[in-house]
Order: sequence, then structure tokens, then C-alpha cells
Amino acid sequence: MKRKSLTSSFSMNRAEESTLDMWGEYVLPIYYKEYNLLQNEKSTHITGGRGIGKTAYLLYHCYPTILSSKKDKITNNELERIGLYVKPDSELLVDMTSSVLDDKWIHAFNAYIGLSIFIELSKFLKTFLNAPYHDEQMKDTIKNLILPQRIVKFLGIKKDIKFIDYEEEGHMLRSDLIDWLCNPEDTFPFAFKAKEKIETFIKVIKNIEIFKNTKFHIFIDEFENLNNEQQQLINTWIKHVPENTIYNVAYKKYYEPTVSTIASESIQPRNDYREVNIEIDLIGEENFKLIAAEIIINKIQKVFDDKYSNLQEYDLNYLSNEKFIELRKKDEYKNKIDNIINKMFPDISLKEVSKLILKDTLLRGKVSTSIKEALGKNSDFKVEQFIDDSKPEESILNAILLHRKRINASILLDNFTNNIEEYAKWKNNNLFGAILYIYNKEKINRRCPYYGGFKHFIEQSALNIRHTLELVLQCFIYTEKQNNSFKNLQDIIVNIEYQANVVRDVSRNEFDRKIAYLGTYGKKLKKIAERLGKLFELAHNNPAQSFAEVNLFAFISSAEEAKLSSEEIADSELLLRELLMWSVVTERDNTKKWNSSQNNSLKEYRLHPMLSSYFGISFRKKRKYDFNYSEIKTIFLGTDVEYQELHKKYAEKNNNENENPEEITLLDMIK
Amino acid sequence: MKLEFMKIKEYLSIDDFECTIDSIFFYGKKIDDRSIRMVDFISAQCKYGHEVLYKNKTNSFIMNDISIKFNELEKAMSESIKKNNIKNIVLESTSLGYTELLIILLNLSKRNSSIEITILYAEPLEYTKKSENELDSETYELSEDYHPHKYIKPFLLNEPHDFISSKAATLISFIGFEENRLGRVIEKNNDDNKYNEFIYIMPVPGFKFGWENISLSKHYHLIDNYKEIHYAPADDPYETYRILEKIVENNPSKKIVIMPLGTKPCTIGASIFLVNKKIENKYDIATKFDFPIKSKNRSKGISKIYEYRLKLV
Repeated sequence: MKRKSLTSSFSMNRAEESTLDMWGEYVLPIYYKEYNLLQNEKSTHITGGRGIGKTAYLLYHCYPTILSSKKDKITNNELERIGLYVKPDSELLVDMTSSVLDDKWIHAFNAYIGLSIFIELSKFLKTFLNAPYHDEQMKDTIKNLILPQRIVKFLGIKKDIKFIDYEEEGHMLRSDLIDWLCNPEDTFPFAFKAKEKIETFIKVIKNIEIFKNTKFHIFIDEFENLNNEQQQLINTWIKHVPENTIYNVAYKKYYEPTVSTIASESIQPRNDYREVNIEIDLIGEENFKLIAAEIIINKIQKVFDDKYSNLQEYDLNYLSNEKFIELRKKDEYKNKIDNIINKMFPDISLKEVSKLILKDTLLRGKVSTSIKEALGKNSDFKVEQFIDDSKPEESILNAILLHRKRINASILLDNFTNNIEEYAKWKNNNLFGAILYIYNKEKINRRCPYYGGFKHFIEQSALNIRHTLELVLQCFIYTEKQNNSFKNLQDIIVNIEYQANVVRDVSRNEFDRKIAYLGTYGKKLKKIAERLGKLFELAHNNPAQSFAEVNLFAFISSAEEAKLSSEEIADSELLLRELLMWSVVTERDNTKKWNSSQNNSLKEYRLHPMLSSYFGISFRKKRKYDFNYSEIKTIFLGTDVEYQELHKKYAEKNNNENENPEEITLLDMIK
Repeated sequence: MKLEFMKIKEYLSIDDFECTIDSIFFYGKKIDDRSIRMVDFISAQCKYGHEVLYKNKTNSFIMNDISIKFNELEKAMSESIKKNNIKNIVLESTSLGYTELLIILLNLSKRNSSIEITILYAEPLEYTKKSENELDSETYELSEDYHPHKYIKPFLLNEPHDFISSKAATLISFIGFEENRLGRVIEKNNDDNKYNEFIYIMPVPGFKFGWENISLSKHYHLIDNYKEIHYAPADDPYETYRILEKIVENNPSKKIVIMPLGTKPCTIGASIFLVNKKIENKYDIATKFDFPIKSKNRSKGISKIYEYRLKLV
């Protein structure tokens, strides 16, 4: 029974799939205190990458969580700020535009948002009736709160109704809206300004003593699904803040919504809204591992209805409680979490992987073959001289170093036999590359175990919690398939071999069965990911590993720029933004520019590390290709024939670089 | 009035097809061998021909090069039928898109006079394959691109399907050659969570022996529950209709969204079904589409021709 719920608990890894009540489910980010959205007196633009938990963050501030029946009690303070979550039907919004409805679009959109929020207000009151607020008299007052006819007559409601009963009316009115959308030539049934009417409804609620100071925060999720005009109207509401309502919007990182309003003014950051980037402001790369581990442990503890012994002292829902954030920042606590999660998903060192290779006949054979090929006709040495089970890392390195033209086999052998300290720099720079090179020769039958381990799951997830949860879910499913079961919390250990297999499957799934389906340009994004992956693969499969672990790229300015039309530049930039928005590639600071004349990018890019295992490339941030404009055009927009030419060019370049063995990364220089 | 199937007939060549000269003929864009051949041949036979194209961005139509509002198509069709005292309508479905076909049928169903409707469809000899190199993981590229999904009016659910409406819907999706189309729906559902049940209709048997395997092999990874697969022959709108009816009758209280991403005859069956259910007004059924931009020369040659004859009852 428990095993089943463990996998089903992880398969529902989207906030939308579970309850709207996030109390005890949502793990508060470490820097949450400064980013409690309900504290703001002005609007917030909330951005976050795919899978970072935007929706869960918004829902944490909304009434189902605030009024959660899982809480012991609700204080009056908590009632001063209430969030309402809004995610419009994007497939309906598409046609709510001036190009389809002429100037009636604004009535339709106002009505859609207004009618929906009226329902939410009614549901808020209804939810309150079941909330742990221990004043039955107050609840009776709320139950009998009336929406007077004068306030609702614009909706065609001709009598006073109880506010909590509005919901039923509201659904019918939304159906009337649908009817009108099918017959837009008819007179619009209820033209009204949503912002003003929402205020009127709220004022009725504020007549209740405990809500007299309440302000409502409305969170519009997936703002990118609203078109330009619809965004402009919301911006107007952001610009001219009503007394009791604050409008906030959330959208994917790298999406750029309009800042215009329906008037000539525009909204400005700081003056009109503040920006919160979930990855940077709330979580921080350094805390992602902790939060991911907490989310996983929290889910597992709930499934088993038990706590790990070293977490016994914490309240059941402590992860959703602001009071416990300081405690969670302490090393003592972090170590407890680390111990649990690392025991569950143990990792393996490169030295251990090297030993495994030498113990495995198939892989050892690949090491021998590589050494043999490097030695060629040189009969002064024997392959066996370069392999020693007591020196596993050095033996693996020999398989690539001997391919380097500047390395003298005799000196290398001397070092291997008498002076292995000489290998230190290569271990740092080349060992993982060499290991991948060997495993890639047996891609079908063997999986490199170094992709496993929780800390590597985290690196490969690159701030996408959905990836981490998928890896964990698949690990549990895989373990079950091997007829192993987890009977209690201490039982949950996934061996490294299973983990590596799972990483490959999840990686392949991400490439094969996800990217092409993302957004409008999915097919193109998949093609670009494939082209990049294959170029990185080339460097990884170079026997000399002279340019190891390449998985980044940057753009360099060159004379080639002149050859690109402005349309080609625009298309490439659009696709780059889509790649980033859907996290097919990730971005970080770089020293080189994309277009010096526009001076618009100082970034470098990485193929999402969740794709690394599929291509057999490194997930560590190491080296990069510098692509000129023309190469970028080929990768992003070129025909298959043009790309094959580029691939060939890089294959040749790779061979020539075997002459240049001592490629050093910035990381090495810092070390 | 409802649409009723009268007969289904096959021709080996379009030359064998005859229609009365006083028919009105609706057709779409000519993009490949078969649509060119079909439209040219029927144009020569019928006195009155109307090209009808749906414009996604403005949710409007272009009829004979003139832009008209979505709901004005009914009036334009009606005038043409009335003026010429027409009893026979021919729809060339190889070239007509889904929206055009569905709305033309809906508009015809609103008429009180008795008319006969003939829908023609030409099977391709083969679909154009993508260049066979190792970088291409797709065999066929029938569409260049797709648009965001949206409803086709008036086939909307009774209420906006969003954060307010608690009930998730059942999606009935037809399966064709392009797995991207279903993949996009499923991936989007990871964000929207609008569907809690997926029912698939596979084109079995396919137009040609073995084509059903292409459909299945391209979609197997997207299908979680094989119990939810139904089969309708690729060339049979009648059977499609029957299956849809069975599914809906088994789920009378559910919200249902139909997406015809499969063969055109299945799309015809789905269209007739949607029109009739709209008239019955018993169920909460909608249709959404992805409005693919069809590749030029997506198919080669012309194989069998099908005639599906309907009447209004």
C-alpha cells in the first residue's frame, strides 16, 4: 500500500494537481521573509523558470492556504491580507481581442475577470466558515452577509442574495458570457469595469468587523497567456491602485510582458511594481539542494506518516511556517537534511567509478583498446604497462593522454610507475571527461554511475524542482520494478546503478518526449538542442580529450556578423529567448558580447544539464564553444545540410586540437 | 435539423464522380496534387463554387477573396443557396480545413429546406517523407507549424474552463501521423491540468496496410492507458460517429473536448457528431484545434476517392 502511495505522491508533482491548500505542502524558500507577497503595498511581478514552483508560491498566499483547516487557529492579523489566485483559460483568451471582437473585447475581458473574481470572493467567505477561526458568531454573520440588489443589479440579479450563495449565480453568468462570445453581434449582457466592481464587492466584505482592514491581493498566473491588449488593461489596474485590491502578475522568466497601459502612460519597476525572481531572490542557487531535499523528505514522511528520527522535534507543517526559517538556515539542521537525503541517494566518487571500470570486463576492454590505438605501431610498450588496478584513475587517464601528440609515452609511463603525483592536474581537468569517453563507447550497455547521487541530481536539475522530483519518482518506480520495496523510512536507499539508469531514462524522456511539445516553437527548440548536443558530444568523444567537458556556448562578434540579415538576427534572438524561457538552455554571465553594436548580451549558455546523460556529456559547468554569428545561424536556422557541414568542421577542428593538450579552464586558474 | 448519413461510396478515380451542375461547391486551399486535382475537377462540374478559408488571427473567414465575420458565413451561404435554388451541396474536404468544414456543416444544419450534402475526400497515394538523415527523428512532416490551441465557436464548454470551474474534462483525441500534435496537448495539460481523462481514437485500419502502425509507433509513448484506445477506420466517418456517440453516452455528465488530430474522414465524422450534439443540446461538449500550417506538397499523388452523402432530417 505504502509503496503505491509513495510513487503516486511523487507523480503528482505539480501544484495544480494537488490541493489549493499549500499549508504543510509548500516549503518556504530560505529568503521568504523579505518576499512575503502579501506585505507589499504595491504590485509584484513574479518570475521564475520552468518548474521552480511559481504556482505553489502564489497559492501559498491565497485564501485556501491562509484559511487552511490544517492550522490550529487563524489570527485576525492573518486576515488583513488575502490572496486570490487567477489563471484564466488561455484557450478562451485567444479570441478575446480587438482583432476578433472589435472594441467589445474590453467588455468581454472585464466581464471574464470580474465574474470570476466575484466567485472567488464568495468562495473565500464560504471557506472561512470551515476555517479554524474560533468565533461561531462571526461565522454566522459571514454566512448571512448580504450582497444587496443595488450592487448586483448590473448583473441582472434582481434581489438581495447571500454573498456565499453568489457562487451559483456566478457560474450561470459565466455561461452567459460564453453564449455571448459565440454571438458577439448581440448586445453585450453586462458591460462593466471589473476593477471598480470588484472594489464594490470587497467593500461589502469589509463591513464585517474582522475584515475591515483587509486588502486583497489578486495573483494573475501565466500572464504570458494574456495578449498585449489584455496585459495593458491589467497594467492600468496596476498603475492606478484601487483602495482595497492589489494586482500582481506571474510569468515565466525571460518572458517580456508589455509595460504599456491602455492610456499613454506605462508602468515602471520600483514606482509601480517590484520584481521578484524566484530563483535569485527567494531560493538562491546555494539553497536549492536544501529546499529540494526538504520537499522530498516532507513528501516521504507524509506517505509513511512517520518522521525521520533526527527530525522528530519539528512541527508537522514546519516547512510552511515562517517561524522556522531561521532554524532551517542553521548548519546543524542542514546537516540533518543532508544526511537523510545522501543516504537515500548515495553518490560515488570519480575514483570509485575508475575502479568500477577496471573491474568491468567490457569497460576495461575499452580502456585497453584506447591505449592500443594510441600506441599504434609503437612496439616499445605494451598496453598492460599502462593499466594498474591499484592506480585506477591514472590508468583511465592513460587511455586518453596517450592520444595527445605532445605527450611522450615513455615519460608518461615513467610517471605512471614512479611519480603519479604528476597526474594531479589531469585528474582535475580530464578524469570525468576520460570516464565519459570510455562509457560513451558502451552507451547501450553501461551507464556512467557518476550521473547518480543526490548532489548530481541537483546539478542536473539546474533549479528545476520538477526535474528533481521526476528523478526521485523514477528511482522509486525503478526500485519497485526490481522487486525491492520500501517498508519504512530507513529502507529508502536507491543504489547508484539504479540511479544512473534512471538519469538516462529521464534525460532521454526530456529530449525525446518533452522539448518538441513546448510552446509554439517546440519542434525548432528540439532541433537546436539536438544540434548543440551533437557538437558537445563530438568534443566528449575525442580520444585525446584535449577540450574536455564542453557543454557551454557563447557568441562572439566577428566579421561574419555582416552576413546576417536583421531578420535572421531577430529569428535567432526569438529562438534563444524561447530556449531560455522553456529552460532548454540556461544562461549565466560571460565576458563576450552577442552583438557589440547593440551591446545587449554578456551571457553564456548551457544546454540544460538534464540532457547531459542522453548525449553522454558532462553536466558540470566547464568549457565552452565560442560560436560566431554564422555558426549560430546554422545551428538555429540552418538546413540539415548546412548543419552537417558545421558538424564536420568541428569534427576536424577537434582532431587538430589534439595537438593542444593543456587546455585550462578558468576554474582551474582559480584553484 | 440534424445531419444523417445516407451512403458512403468509393471511386477509383475522380473522373467517375458526377454531380448536378446546379450544385454549390465549397472548397479550400489547393496545396498538393490531390487537392489541386479534386478542386479543379469539381469546379468544372459545378456552376457555383466558393473558396472558404478560416483566418485564425481574426476568427473570421475569407469567402471568394472577401473577408467576412465568423458568423456572417451562414448568411453568405444562405444567400447563395437561396438565390440559385440549390438542392445539392458539395464539400471538397481534402482542401477544406477543420474549422471551415465544421462551420459549413453547422450552417447547413440550420436550414429548414431539404438539401443533400455530398462530402468528397481524396486519399493520397503517399505522404511526403522528410529527408532521411540521422538528424531527423520524424518521418513525416505534414505541418510546418501549429498555432496555440483554441476553441472553435460555438463549440465551447458551457463555462470557461479555468481556476474557477472545478471539474476536469475528458479529452477525446484522434490520432494521426504527427505525434507533436498530441504531445503539445499533453505537455500543456501538465501546466493547465484541464483534462483528467484521455481517450484516443486510432485510425484502424489505416488508409493503407501498415499505416496504422505508423500512428501507433509515433504515439505509444504518449499514451498511458491502453484501455482508453478506440479504433475507427481511417476512411469511415460513420464508424467514427458511432464510436463518439458511445463514448459520450457512457460519460453523460462529463465535460468533453474533442480534438480531431487524425485523418480527414474521422474529422468529418467528428464534425457531423458535434453539429448534431449541438442541436440536441444535451451534453457539455466542445472542440479545440491547433490550426496547423500545412506543409506545401504534404502528400503525393491521388488514390481512392470517397463520397459521403448526408441529408438533413
